[in-house]
Amino acid sequence: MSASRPEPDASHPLWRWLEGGAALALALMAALVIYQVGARYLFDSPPSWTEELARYCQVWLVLLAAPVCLRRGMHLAVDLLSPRLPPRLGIALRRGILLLVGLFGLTFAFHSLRLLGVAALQTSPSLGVSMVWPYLALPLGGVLIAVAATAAMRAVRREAVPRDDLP
Amino acid sequence: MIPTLLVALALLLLLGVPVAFAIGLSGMAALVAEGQLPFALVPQRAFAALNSWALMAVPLFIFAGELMNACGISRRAVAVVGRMRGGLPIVSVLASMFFASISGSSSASTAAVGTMMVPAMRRRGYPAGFAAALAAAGGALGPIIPPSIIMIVMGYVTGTSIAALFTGGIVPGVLMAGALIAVSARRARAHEPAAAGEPGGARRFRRVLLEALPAILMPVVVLGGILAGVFTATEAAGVAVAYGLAIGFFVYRELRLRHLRALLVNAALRSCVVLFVATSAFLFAWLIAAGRVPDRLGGEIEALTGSALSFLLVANLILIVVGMFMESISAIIVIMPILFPLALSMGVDPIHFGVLASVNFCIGMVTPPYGATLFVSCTIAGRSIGEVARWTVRPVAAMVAVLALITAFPEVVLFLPRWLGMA
Repeated sequence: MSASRPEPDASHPLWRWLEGGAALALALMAALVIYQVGARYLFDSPPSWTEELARYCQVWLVLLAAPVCLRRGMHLAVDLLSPRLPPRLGIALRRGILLLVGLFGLTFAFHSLRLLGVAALQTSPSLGVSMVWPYLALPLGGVLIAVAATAAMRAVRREAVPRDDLP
Repeated sequence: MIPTLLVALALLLLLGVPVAFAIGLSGMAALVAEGQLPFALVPQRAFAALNSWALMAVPLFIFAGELMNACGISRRAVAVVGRMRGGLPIVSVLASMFFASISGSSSASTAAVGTMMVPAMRRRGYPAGFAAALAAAGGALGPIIPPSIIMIVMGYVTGTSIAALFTGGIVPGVLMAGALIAVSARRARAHEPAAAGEPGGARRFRRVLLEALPAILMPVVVLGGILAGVFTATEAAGVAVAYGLAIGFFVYRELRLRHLRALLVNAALRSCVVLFVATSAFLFAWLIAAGRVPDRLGGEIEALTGSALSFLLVANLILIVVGMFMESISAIIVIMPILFPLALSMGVDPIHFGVLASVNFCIGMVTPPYGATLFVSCTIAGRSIGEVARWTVRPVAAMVAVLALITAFPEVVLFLPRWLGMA
C-alpha cells in the first residue's frame, strides 16, 4: 500500500463502504469453505449450498473491490510508456486511459442489465434463490468502476499514480 | 475478428491500460468487427470466470498469508532460519524456500526474507546488489514451490489439475534452490571462511525452534493434505486460513478481533488485483477459441518446429520474453489460451507444460524491465534496479539451467505427480 495518501477524495466514505463490503464477502467465503471442509471430513455430509454461496461471494468480492483498486491505481498494467513521457503528456495519457476505462465500465453495466433480465427467470441450483442476486454485482460494479475512473481522473494532477505490487 | 482483438490488445497494453480493461475493451472491439455476437458476452463471460470454485484458492491463500504475517508465524519462522549455521547466502535461499512453502505469493516471500537477510549479509560485507539479487531470485521460488497463486491461475485457465501442478513444482523448485546455492557458494566461502557459529548455542536454538513449531507444521498440514489427496487446492487454502486463525488467536495470541477488519480489507484488495485480471480470462480464451487460433497456428507450428522438444524450446523463448515485460498473472491469461492447445497438439504433457510455463514466468520476475521480486528486493536494499540487475546474471543463469533440464527431461517434473497417482 502506498503510504502517503492524505488525499481527501481517496478516503471518501464510498470507498470505505466498498472495502468493507469486499472484506465481508471474503470473510463469509472463508467461513463457508472452512465449514464445508469440516462438514465433509468430520461429519461426512458435504452441504451443497456452501460451495454455491461461496462462489457468489467471490463475484461480489471482486466487483466491490475493483472500483477501490482502480481509484488507488492498484490494477496491473504494463507501465512502460507514461513514466517516459514529458509530465504534461503523461498526465493526458493517464486521463485518456481512465476515460476509456470509465466508458468500458458503463458499457459493461448496460449490457449486464440485459443479462439481469435473463437471470430473473432463473433460480440457483442449490440455494434456490433468484439468479438476480449474484448477477446484480455486475451492473453495480460497472457503474462503480465508472465512478472510480472519474474520481481518479480528477486526482491525476494532484498525485503521482500510486503503484502497488502484486500480492 | 482475431486480428482486431490482438492489434487492439497490443496497442492498449502498450499505452498502459490496466490488463483486465485492455482485454475487455479489445474484446468489445473484436465483437464489433465480428458483427454477430452480442456485447452481453462480455459481462456473461466475466460472471462465469468469477463463479469458480478453483479460483477461490487465490483469495483464501492471500488471506492466509496476511494472517500468518499478522499473527507472528512468519516472524518466528524467520527467527529459526536466522539461527541456522552456514553461509548467509545459503541461509537466504533456504529461508526463501521455506517461505515459498507457506505463502503463495512471490512478492510477499521476497519482502519477508529480504528485510531480514539483506541487512544481515551487508553486515558481513557482502555487496548489497548481491544480497538483493539473491533475495529476488529466492522470491521467485515462491510460485514454483507450492502453494502458488500463479499455478492456481495456470490450472484455472488451462483446465489442468491444480493439485497436480503444485506437486509437479516441488522437484524443480528444490533443484532451483540447489542451483542458487551452487552459484553463490564461492562468494559465501570468500566472505565467511569458517561458517560462524550462532551466539547463544544449541539450547537457545531449541527454544526458538519449539516456538516456531506451529509455523513449521503449517506446510506439513496444508501441502501434506494436497499431496495425500485429502484436500483440493481450494480446501487446502481454507484449511490454511483456519490454521492461521487458530494459531493467531489461541497459540501465539497476537491476533485480536479488531485487527481482522484491516487484514480482510487488505486481503480482499490484493485478491481483487489478481481476480480482476482473471475476470477477463474467459472472454479472451473464448474469443481465441472461437477464432480457431490454435487450430490455424497448429499446422504451421508443427511444420516449423517438427518435434515436441523443439516446440518447447520456441515456447520457452516466447514465455521468457513475455515474462520479462509482463506481470505473470496477466501473462498467463494472454499467452496460455494460445500456447497451451498448441502444446497439447504437439504431444506435450499438460502438467509438464504448466510447470514449465510457471518456471519461465518466475525467471521473468527477476529480470527487468518488469521484475516483480526484483522491484521488491531493490526497494529493501535501497539500490537502483540497474545496479541489482547486474548481480542477477548468475542467479538467472542458474534458473535457466534448471529450466533447460526440465525442458529436456519431462520426467523430472512428472515423476512425483505420477507416483502420487495425479497424472
